[in-house]
Amino acid sequence: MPQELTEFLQQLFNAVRISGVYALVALGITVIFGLTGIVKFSIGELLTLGAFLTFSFWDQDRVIFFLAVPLAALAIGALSLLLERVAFRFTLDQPINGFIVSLGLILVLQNFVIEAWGTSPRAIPPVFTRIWDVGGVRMPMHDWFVIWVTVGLIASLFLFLRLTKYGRAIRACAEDREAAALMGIPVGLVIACTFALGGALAATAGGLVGSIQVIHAYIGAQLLLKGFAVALVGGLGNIEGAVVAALLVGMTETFGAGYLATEWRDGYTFALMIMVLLLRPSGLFRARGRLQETLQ
Amino acid sequence: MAPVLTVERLSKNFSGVRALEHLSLDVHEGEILGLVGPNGSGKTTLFSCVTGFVRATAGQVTWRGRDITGLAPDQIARLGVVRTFQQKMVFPKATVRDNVEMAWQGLRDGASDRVLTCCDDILHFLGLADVEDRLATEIPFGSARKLGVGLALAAQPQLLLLDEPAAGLNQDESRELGRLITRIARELAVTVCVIEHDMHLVMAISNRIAVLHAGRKIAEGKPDEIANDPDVISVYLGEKFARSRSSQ
Amino acid sequence: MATAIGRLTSSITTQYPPLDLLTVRLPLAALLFVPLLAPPLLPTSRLLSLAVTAAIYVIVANGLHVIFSYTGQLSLAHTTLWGLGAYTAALLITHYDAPTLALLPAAGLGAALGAVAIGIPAFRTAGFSFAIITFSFAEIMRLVANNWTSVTEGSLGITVFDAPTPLGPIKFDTFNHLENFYYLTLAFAYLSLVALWLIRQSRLGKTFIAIRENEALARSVGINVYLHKLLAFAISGFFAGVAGVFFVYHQKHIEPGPLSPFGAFFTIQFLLMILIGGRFSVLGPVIGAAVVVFGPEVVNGILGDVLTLSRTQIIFGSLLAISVLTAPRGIVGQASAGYQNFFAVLRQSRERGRSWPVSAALALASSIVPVGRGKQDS
Repeated sequence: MPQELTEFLQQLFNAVRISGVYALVALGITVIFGLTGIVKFSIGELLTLGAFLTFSFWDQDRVIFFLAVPLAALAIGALSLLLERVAFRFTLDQPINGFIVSLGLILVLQNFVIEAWGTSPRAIPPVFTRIWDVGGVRMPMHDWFVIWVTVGLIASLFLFLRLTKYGRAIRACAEDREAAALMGIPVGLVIACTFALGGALAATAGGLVGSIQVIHAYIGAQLLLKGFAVALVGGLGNIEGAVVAALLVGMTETFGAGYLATEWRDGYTFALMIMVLLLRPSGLFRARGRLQETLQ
Repeated sequence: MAPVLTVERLSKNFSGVRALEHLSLDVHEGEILGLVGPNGSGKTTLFSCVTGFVRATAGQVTWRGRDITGLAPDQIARLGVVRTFQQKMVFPKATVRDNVEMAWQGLRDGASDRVLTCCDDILHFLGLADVEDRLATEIPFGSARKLGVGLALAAQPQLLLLDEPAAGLNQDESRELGRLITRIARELAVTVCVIEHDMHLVMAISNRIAVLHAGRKIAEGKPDEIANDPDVISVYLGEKFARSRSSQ
Repeated sequence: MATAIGRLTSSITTQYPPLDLLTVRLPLAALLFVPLLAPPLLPTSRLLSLAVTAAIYVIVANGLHVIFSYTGQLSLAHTTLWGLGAYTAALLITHYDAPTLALLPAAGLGAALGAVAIGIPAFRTAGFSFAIITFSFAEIMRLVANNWTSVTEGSLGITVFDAPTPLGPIKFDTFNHLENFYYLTLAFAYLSLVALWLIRQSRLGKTFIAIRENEALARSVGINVYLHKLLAFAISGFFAGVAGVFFVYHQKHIEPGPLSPFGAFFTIQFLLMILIGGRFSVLGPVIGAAVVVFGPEVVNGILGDVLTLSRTQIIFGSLLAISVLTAPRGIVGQASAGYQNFFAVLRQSRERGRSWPVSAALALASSIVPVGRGKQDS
């Protein structure tokens, strides 16, 4: 295979892999925002916590990784639900306050991780160690595993929201909270569960990330920005948009860093985000839910 | 009397809903023009388009010979066209006096010598001087509405667009408001256009009345002409009633 | 002169109800004189250095107060503007040997221009998007600082050994004359407080508050909201830039690392100061800065070094979340409302014929509960 093609395919693979992680974080953000108008920045720290929890649950035995991630997701989901009941619930009428609360939570959670696990980086060894080499394009099997898990999760989320009773309830609340309440949907419960869902998604992303790269206390903050950029570009509250945007951002970033200057890697994403916010504040796709009110 | 504000074939679509349809209207210098019509007939949309809060889909607005279509709301206000709001018409957590001071942006160029020149004058004109230290949320609703008008006066308007200023007021408060509006038109040489549902008030203070229905103007003229106009009656009270009246 | 003082006093007494003035404002104002006694009161030079930091933080916090508290725009780029001022100062010192008198306006203007540059695109969006855009710009600036090595020395940062230009025989270097440096910084902290108060009293300040309270209403009376937001942002940047100069002299080194005070996340500290101290009062940022800088010291002093940096942050983060949820008026506003509630309930209860102890208990309870009376801004 010619060198340029190898190069290109390698970047493509990397891009897809990182897009998956971004998509999970973005979905967590977008689902919560679409329902409540609250931008939960602290979701990044939930990712960090998820990563470190997975690390702690982990053992040398590979089966434990398959269990560790869901366990961490459950724990963080529960934490997220608790936070909603204790804090975010009171900010529903003033979402910007919810944003500030999440800023405070960033301090709390990030430093909790530092207190509990220290500042040295950790890593979870990949479950599969084989690397599939196709004409110079190196694709670790574990990365494929991560990609498939991510795809599976996203697909499940889609199906859940579209087909199940609970999913429809969530979407109804996102469209019109008052009308949903009048129809007998327990809005408070739906919101609490959505927070739990967002937290679980973030924690899963954290666990997966922990197996493909080194994790440290600030990993969540870093991924948050990307995840948020994706959610924004795709339209806050728009789930399909988040997935497409994840691919877009992942590609922009990977190809930008690969073919242009590498050290400005994050800059491309930020630039893209700023442009989107300026030109089409509702994202590249029609955003749903609370967006119009909040941005006005 | 010369028209100071000319609205020409103004249209506004809100995702398929035609709020205004080729509406044309003139407001004459120094008059009090009443704007009436059933709910949803486009009255507030008209105000919003004229003052730049909403961008019209088509049509033109001319103010004293100048095309103001599409200008920013604060620009239009500085040119002398000031509107009030039906809701959230004052700054709630500040005192009455602070409210006026926040709205006061200094004397504008070309302000007539009959304009109220500072916050004290405005408060006295409104009759709110004795409650100036009370919070805007602690004064009676009628006074809050007057304060809303006062904020608009702080901007030294030449054309004042009042959006349902009497909504929620009882008879006495409405009458007092009516006197205030008449005083504004007469003593301050301000042209006024009032959206109202209170027909007594509108009939009492307006020089002319325009009637809107489904985004169009269906009648225009002096109050007693409007009161007897069959189209107007049918719009408010139904076709049958109009036919029964005209057949008498 | 006499009429000016007379007008000043009458404007103060008409603005604040007398009870509020006596029990809250005047004591707080008196507390403002305490920092003058810092050098003799603080035993170690480490504590004095901390006081310098507090004074610098006051200037930064006062700047944030203008854009966030007065104008209602949540900017997460504030500490980045601080960094912009600091970098400007550091570069001017190391390349041009600039005297302090030139540095202060230069850094202030540099940061103000940066604010305008960010604001021009950012203010075309509404409150929420604005916060996110400022956040992005903050991170971009950090990237620029890291990568534009030819100018900023990248991640190594810039080191500055100079001291502020001496004022005649008075030297300000932080090694031998830390007290003088402290007083210099304190002087500018006082200046920033006066500037803040002047802004609040002026028509400009009232316009800012009008924008915060109801933008549409502000527009309808002819206020150019976009321009005023830019102006507020520029002013806040100027404050931050000036603070940057003192930071450079004090810390002697700046770099764009993730823990650097110039990142987007560090603005959270200043948000905390404002929310703790009081969002609606001129004295809010000062109180907040004092609490954030010296609070941990006091706790450690009493409980014996129990607070590490990360534990402190956990507490601060919780305080931030709690203060947003429960007491939006901060310490100053809460104290003010508390006193008013106390005396109002006491009087009411006595009028209803209840005994003194019961009345006192009721009044005390009502003064603690965060329900505010009286006007919001002061």
